[in-house]
Amino acid sequence: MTSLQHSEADSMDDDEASAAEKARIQRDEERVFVQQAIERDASAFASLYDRHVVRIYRHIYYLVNDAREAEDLTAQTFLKAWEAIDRYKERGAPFVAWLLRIAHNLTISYLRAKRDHSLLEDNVVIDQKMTRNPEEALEQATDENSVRAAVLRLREEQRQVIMLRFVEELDYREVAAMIGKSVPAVRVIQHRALGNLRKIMQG
Amino acid sequence: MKTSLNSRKRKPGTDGTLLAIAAQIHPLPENVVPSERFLEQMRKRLLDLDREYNTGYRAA
Repeated sequence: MTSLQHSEADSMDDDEASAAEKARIQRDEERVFVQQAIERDASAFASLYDRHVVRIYRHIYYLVNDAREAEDLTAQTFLKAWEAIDRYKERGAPFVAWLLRIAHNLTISYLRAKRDHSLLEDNVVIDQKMTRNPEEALEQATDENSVRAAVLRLREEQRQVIMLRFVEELDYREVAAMIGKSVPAVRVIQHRALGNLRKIMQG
Repeated sequence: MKTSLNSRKRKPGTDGTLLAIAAQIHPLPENVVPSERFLEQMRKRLLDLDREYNTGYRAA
């Protein structure tokens, strides 16, 4: 190896070490905020909100495809998290994984209720847009939304794994900790989900 | 015991067509973010929770 190659390799090692150190400091800082929030310190909880609100919003938006609904559900997610934070336990996944689980469950319940409501109103409301369920609406959306529409048609467990792995870009270990399954089980769910996506997208 | 290539179990995630499907699933564009107005209002609301919680706790 030349001295220039040595120097480049050293520089990359330094960058990686610096990024790892930064990540460690952020994790430690977050643990402190979480502990303070558990002790009902709202400003610490607001710091957690500042860190994660955009990610939570984007996760919800992916499911509902509507800015107003995504904001309402984001607000509900943080209010619910505040109520439940004393039951939070760190189980190998970052704090944001806990928030994502709350957001995901709330959003799926919301979409189910909306779909049921649409079906109930189907006989009295003429407006097609109002009576279509959200999954159907996305199915009929533009090409750029076709992958998202296909993801929404997966069974809940498969949809959650696909979103956490490819939209949230969590690793297998983090997803496993979040949904309470083993890493091999998550791999199998992902494999089946991708197979189902292929079938859906090939029509 | 007879074995064949077809009977071997494939390790999940090694199917090329599935990897191609996975490659099509992207995070949303960077510009999908909540409005500034929402962010500020929600932050204020969360800071007020402290007072609400403590008031409620003392009342209880």
